Amino acid sequence: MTAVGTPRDQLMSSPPRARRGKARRPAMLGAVPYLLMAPAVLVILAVLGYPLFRLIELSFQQYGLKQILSHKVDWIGFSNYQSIFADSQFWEILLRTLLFTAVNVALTMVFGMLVALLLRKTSAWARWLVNFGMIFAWATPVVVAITIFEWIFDQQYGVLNWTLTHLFHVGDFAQHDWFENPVVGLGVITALVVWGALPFVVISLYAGLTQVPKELEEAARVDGASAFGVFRNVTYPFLRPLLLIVTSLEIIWDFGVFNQVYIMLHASPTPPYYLMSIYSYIQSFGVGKYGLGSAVAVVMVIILLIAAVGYVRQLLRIGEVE
Amino acid sequence: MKARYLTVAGLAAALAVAGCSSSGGGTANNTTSPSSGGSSSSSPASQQPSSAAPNSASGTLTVWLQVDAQKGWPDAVTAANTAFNQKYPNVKVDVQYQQWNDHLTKFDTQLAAGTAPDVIEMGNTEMAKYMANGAFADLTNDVGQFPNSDTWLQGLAGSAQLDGKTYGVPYYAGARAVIYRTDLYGSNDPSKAATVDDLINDCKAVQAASKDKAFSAFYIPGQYWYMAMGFVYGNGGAIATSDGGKWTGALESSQAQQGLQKWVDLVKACSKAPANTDEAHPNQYQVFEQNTAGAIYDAGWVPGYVQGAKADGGNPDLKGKVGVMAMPGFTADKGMSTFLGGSDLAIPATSKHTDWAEAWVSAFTTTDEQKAFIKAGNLPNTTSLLADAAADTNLAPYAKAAQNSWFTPASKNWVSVEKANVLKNMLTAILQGKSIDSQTKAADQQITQLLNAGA
Repeated sequence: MTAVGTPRDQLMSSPPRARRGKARRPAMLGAVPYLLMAPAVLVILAVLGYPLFRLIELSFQQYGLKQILSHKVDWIGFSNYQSIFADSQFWEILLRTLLFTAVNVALTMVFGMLVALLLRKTSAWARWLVNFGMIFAWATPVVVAITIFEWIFDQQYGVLNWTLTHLFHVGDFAQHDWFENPVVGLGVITALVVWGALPFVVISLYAGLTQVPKELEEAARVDGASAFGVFRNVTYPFLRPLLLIVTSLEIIWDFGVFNQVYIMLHASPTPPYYLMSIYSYIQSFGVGKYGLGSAVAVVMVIILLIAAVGYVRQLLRIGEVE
Repeated sequence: MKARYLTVAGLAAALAVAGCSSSGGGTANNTTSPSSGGSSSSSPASQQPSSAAPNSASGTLTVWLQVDAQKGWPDAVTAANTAFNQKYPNVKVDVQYQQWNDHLTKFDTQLAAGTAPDVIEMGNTEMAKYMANGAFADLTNDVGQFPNSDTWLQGLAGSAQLDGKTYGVPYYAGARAVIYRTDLYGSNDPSKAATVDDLINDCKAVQAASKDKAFSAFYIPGQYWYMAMGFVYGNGGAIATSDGGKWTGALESSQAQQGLQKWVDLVKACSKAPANTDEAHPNQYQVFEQNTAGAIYDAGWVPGYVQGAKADGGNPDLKGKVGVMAMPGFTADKGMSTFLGGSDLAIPATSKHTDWAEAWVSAFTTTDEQKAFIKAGNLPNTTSLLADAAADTNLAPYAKAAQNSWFTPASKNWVSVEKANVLKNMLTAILQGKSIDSQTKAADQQITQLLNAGA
């Protein structure tokens, strides 16, 4: 991120540079980069490639307790996919998951951007304090964070119900069940997810902001640009590649949210709370239809691949600049 | 005194009937001397051809028990390990405690990976699917060497038998009863309630007398399906019925719906518990200890536990203020149906040390061990000890409750219904205002589909 000058040109254009053009290099040396990469590639294949391969394989099989014990597999082609696509519950869950993801990513990015911008304006000690808090929130293991939220929103002993009733007197919230209405309940979970994601976004974006040349923004301001105009026309173009990457990552993470729902609802979320990941888990480990659960997971992977295209393209572009 | 024997006889009859139709397997045809039922830990393993002499055998025996043992009777586990090690001094016993909500998930993955334990505790509702798929070693020919096998509770032993073969050893049984605060109920003494309607009146009075908004006169978490289904069976309904091997969800029958309605009435009148949690989140006995519940419906070890020392997790302030009674039924002449819970010990077919595993299971189910389980508040696995259970003041109401018991449908797919949360989801929806009629019909549809699914 050491771009200077017109950022859009520098970052966005991809002139085909003849970097590998040193033709006189000995032939043997050509293998060296691949040899150096080989260990990493092998590890990635073993750790990510094999499970993915098994997942796809399972999604074309009928795989349950019988198959686990007999070590014989029953290939059933696209039957698993046919049955999930024919299931109206699946489409409902897919829609809910997409909505949930969209809301979570939007809130995370907007809040993250605002806090990052705020950090530029604050005094050093305030910035230090916010960063300190952010790192703490970031360092909280997700299960611990969920448990804390669980207690805040607990119907019987929750501190929130007590605070609303006895401290702010906004009404009688004693015994108020935050999870009775699934929209509100998913809202609580959204708060938890956004809270957990903010530190990464803020710290990344703040780092990005430090690379935006001050003199350009100043020049724009002197020319009479509004605060939003400065952001839109100067800051944003510099941040665009970074924003794309962070947003892609957020989409990937939020689309696969599992713990926050599963643990928050005591390992038995009711159907209005089913997201794709929960549905896949219940089909696999609850009902014991591992093939069907895998098919759901494969659909998830495919949707995420689409989201990841933006991320990968951006990564490649940055590589070209350097 | 007489009443106690009647209780024992009634209990024995009830437990015998509650079992599956299995013929009782190989207890009769096994000619090796059945264990006398005494406390001796005479080695069963020596009675069968063992590849290595017990003394020289070495390795590790992995045992999965549920956390109940860790909390309720850890000494019995230690005693079993000691007895086992006298026979197999060089075999290390590795007891790993599991949680109910995910132990089968773990078991499935361990089976797939070939690293399953050598002994596993299974809930009696969880056995069928695994037996039908051949997950467990066939113990039919070795039944006689397990302690008290000729007097096993048929209701519990039946859950470990399929097609005349035995795949598990009954571990302990359990019923549920009403545990209430005598100081809070006072003159509204629920033990005088002849029917569940009387009980509702009692708890309404207690609820009205309390100023604490978080207080439940009768704390009932919304997803407590073991309790709710007791009202279904208590009113003559059932979860599902079978006709020639084909299952049909039966919750939409009028008996089942009326039973559920009564349960909902009780919950609405006396409970402030969340509609979307079950009896383990939080553990209802902990709510009871916090003085925010006047009554709970819980297992036999709970009354003693909640009155115990603080260091053991109890609340000593409750000492002498806790009463126990069987849940009254719809009519005065018949108690409410209670779920006949319990556990079996099975040996996964993948175990390479079946002989060690059998020896450990024997050591863990001796008469002395069973007495320890009774002391911890469980019903024993043998009819020969039922009198001991009925003589225990805390346990007597449980023995009485068990006279009317119900068990989950005997389909090999039952556990799918349980793990897919079909009943929990239904109860939450009903308590949140959906109609009983629509929700039971929706649940029936799922139950029918899941129970009739292929292997």
